[in-house]
Amino acid sequence: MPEADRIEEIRRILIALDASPSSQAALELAAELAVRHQAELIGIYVEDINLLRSADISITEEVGGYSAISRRVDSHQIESELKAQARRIKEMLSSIAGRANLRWTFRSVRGLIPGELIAAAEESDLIILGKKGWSEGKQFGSTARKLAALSPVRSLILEHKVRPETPVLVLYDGSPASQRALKTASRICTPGSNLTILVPAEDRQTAEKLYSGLASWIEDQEFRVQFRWVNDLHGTRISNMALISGCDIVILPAQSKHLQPKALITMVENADCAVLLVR
Amino acid sequence: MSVSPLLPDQLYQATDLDLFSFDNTAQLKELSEIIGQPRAVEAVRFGTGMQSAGYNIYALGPPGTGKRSLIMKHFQDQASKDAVPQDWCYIHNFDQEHKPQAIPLPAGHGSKFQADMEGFIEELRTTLATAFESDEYRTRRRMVESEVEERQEAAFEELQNKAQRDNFALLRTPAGLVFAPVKAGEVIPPEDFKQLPEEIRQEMEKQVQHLQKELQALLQQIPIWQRDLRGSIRELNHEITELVVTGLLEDLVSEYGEHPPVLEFLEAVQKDVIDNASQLLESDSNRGGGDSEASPQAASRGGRSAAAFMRRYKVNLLVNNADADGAPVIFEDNPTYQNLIGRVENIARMGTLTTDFTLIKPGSLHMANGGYLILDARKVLLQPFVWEALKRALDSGQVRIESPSQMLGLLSTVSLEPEPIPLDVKIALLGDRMLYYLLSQSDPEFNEHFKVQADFAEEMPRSPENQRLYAQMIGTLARSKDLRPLDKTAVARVIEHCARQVGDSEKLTIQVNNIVDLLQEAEYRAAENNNPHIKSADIQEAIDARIYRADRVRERYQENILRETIMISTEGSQVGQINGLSVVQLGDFSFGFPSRITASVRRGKGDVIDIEREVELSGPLHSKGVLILSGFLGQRFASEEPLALSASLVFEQSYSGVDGDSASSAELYALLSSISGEEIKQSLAVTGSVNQHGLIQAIGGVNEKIEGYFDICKQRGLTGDQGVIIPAANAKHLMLREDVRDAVAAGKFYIYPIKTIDQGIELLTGIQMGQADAEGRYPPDTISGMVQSRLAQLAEKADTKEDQKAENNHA
Repeated sequence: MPEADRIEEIRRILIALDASPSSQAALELAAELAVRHQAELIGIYVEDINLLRSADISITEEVGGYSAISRRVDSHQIESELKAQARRIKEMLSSIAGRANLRWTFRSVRGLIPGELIAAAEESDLIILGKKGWSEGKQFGSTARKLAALSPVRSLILEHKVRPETPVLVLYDGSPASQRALKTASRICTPGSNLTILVPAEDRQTAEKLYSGLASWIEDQEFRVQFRWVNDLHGTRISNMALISGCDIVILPAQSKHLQPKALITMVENADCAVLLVR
Repeated sequence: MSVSPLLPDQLYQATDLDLFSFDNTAQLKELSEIIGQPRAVEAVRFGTGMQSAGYNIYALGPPGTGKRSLIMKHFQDQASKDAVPQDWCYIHNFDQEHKPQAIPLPAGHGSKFQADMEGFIEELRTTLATAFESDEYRTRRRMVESEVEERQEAAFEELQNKAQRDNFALLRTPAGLVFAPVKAGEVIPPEDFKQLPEEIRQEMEKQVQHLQKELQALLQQIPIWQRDLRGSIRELNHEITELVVTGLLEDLVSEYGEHPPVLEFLEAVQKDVIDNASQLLESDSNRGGGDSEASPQAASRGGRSAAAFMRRYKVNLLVNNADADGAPVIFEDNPTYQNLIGRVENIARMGTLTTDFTLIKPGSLHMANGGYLILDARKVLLQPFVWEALKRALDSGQVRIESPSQMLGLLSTVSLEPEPIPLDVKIALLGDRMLYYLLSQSDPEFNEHFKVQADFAEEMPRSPENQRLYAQMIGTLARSKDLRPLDKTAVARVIEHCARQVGDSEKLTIQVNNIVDLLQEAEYRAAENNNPHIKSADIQEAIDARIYRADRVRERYQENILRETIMISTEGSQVGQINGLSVVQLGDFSFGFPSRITASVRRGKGDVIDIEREVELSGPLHSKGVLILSGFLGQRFASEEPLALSASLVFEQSYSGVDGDSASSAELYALLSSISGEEIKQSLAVTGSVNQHGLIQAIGGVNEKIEGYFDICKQRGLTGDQGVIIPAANAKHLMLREDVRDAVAAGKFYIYPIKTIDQGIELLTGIQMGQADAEGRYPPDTISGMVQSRLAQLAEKADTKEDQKAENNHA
């Protein structure tokens, strides 16, 4: 196997877990990918150090998420609640991984969430995490944002469930990063499904040149491929293209001349579909 | 006053072959009418045509008299002229789910309506799915949802920004949210916070409290926004659904414009689909749960699937007259409650029985509505609750489907109360006479509902015309049963057998089923004998075989007599002893046999003791016959003086009951013999009842009785002086077996028809009964004279004894 291909392999999947619905959706997708690639599933739960600190500050009070009633809490109480949550998450992971007969590990760490996840990501090929909306608090949203910007490995960020055998959209501009994105796409796509390759180019000729460069690669694939050319690329357009193509997953190179880092983060924040950033 | 024995040709009324102009029944025309039932035919014709309420028919008569065929024929003739009745459908009642609605439609429209609604449901599913998956709907829904989401997010963002400006972070705990003071992106460690000056901490606390209040206000606002969101989505769903359903129902509304109940239903369906659009969509999106068979009731309890929900829009076509040609004629051969009234079936789901209007099944009353229904009265009465339910339906003029347990209040589970359907049906009950008279007497409502009595006779006169019709009927029956034709002699033999069946040479049975059985059995014999036509011999073989199959008991009885286990004398003479004759009926086979009757007399007070009665082995008719004997003796011999004797009468070796008065003349002969001391010839057997004046009256089973005695005599060897004394009135009933007739012709057996006791006693003793002179005295050499003399002696002894007793008392 060429070295480049081995790099694109998915052998260890890190799944960041909390009790949110988007985290559950992330776990399901992670399990499916792990089955397909015979990868190991590494579950991680971070006990937020900020939360524990805040509990011991005399002026803070917890406001009930549903009841809106405020009450005093201390760090012991928060700590035991977080540990209980970690236990429940571990059971969930054990159940899903057990059913799929997967190799899996789980660990609970204490610290700042983005830092701990980025550190843990070092030892994996892909990190998957759920994204929360503003209505549920900005905390994890900012984690996603930080991970999108700083993750050392491929990071897949999603909010909703991803259908099995979903069509996939990938951005390809011929750059080395986009070539890696394309290879990742070939691993994510299931045989018989559709892959839409979005080609940003100033003119049609450039775009067609890029198409033809992929002709031999396409012949080796077991999924259907279609090209779309765009001359003006921005986050919203990618989201719309994904919607039109019915894709639940969009794969983007993290460094692309066509997509500025800030625009990329905004796109990840606002996208309805799952976004896989490839470095 | 001697009595002449009957001649051989008086013992059997053979069929005159000259009556028939055919050689075999294949040459005869089909007989389309029922013969010998003019009264019943008229009654059925009247009952069928009479339209007023309560003119239903009760056909009474024994089985096999053609009740069902006659009524079926008249009903079918009338039904073919009647209009085709309406179709009936049950539909869901949207106002009261447990009371499905019944709607009538012109014949043939019901099935179309049903198919139209099935099509609507199918279309609704796909069109609704398409509409709700359309870009327009999705975009509008997303806009509505986004609006609320954005409002929420904006509110949170604003609060978070405000907190950030004040150096606070909004953190999520497992159970809620907290504001914590931050420094350089991290929450200030508690120990650092404690180091802060008091006034700063107080200021921060105020800020936190302020932020918390805002957060609380925001969290309280979220459910209101969510409710608004649901309301907006509901409105959007309504709008889209209304568009879809109105378009789908448009054609149906114009097609069924002339049927207001259908229009009302379509309107209700439209409203229901619109009102429940959200549920339809939610359940549709959860499809694949296997809920397609769930009932609407189950579905209404929540979690209903789209398929279950849409069952409400189905049509249960209860009565379909699309292919009918005239009014229906139904014969219900198993009139159980549910088969007659209809039923509401249940399906088991998750261990619970559920039901809905699509599970309503029709009964025969529904199927016959607008036409005719034939029922077997006995079966109707044997089935629980059926008779009452039938009367209730006729009384109310409607069919109400109610389970028996529901009717009795025993059922506590959810069930349906389908709307009753108006009933217009002509009913014919088929039954025997006893049931008719019992119902008539015991059920005051019976005569109100069954005003037409169609009385079917068992027999008809054996006139030449009727015999010709009979031959035609035999031919028709043979053809209908695929039998080979009967030749002329076979037809004659069947007719003779049918006369014998009713025990009357001048009558013929009309119980067709017996004739059919005989013909089929003769067909079997003819096939065995390789006869192209059924011949007289085949008929005779069939009759003999049938008797042979049934006469084991007779054979045993005769064997007991021949072995003298049962003592019957057929020769010699004996005082006070005579051969009476009895008949036993075993199923449809009857046979006669002789019984020894003995009498003994002594001085007494004029009692005739019937020993059978004393031990309660006699029926009332037999007891009556014996009491008549006292009347006869008193009237003839003791009109002036009291009878000074007591007599005992007994059926010897009778261990079961005796009934009927046919042995009363025999008992009288035995009594007269016993009083007079004159012997009775044991070679003669006697049957016939007697009245107080000594006149002999007709009895039943004369043929069997004669043959029963003949069989014993024949097996012992006919002596030439044996015979049977029968009432003269029974001579016309004689249809005796051939061997009996042959013996009579050969002068070896005699049948004496008598009219009086006098004739009988003369035959039995060879001595005249005697006529009284002007003073009431009989000649001493007559039986009456001897009886008178004996009675006088007994009276004298009694008087002497009385005198002595009186003298003793006086002394």
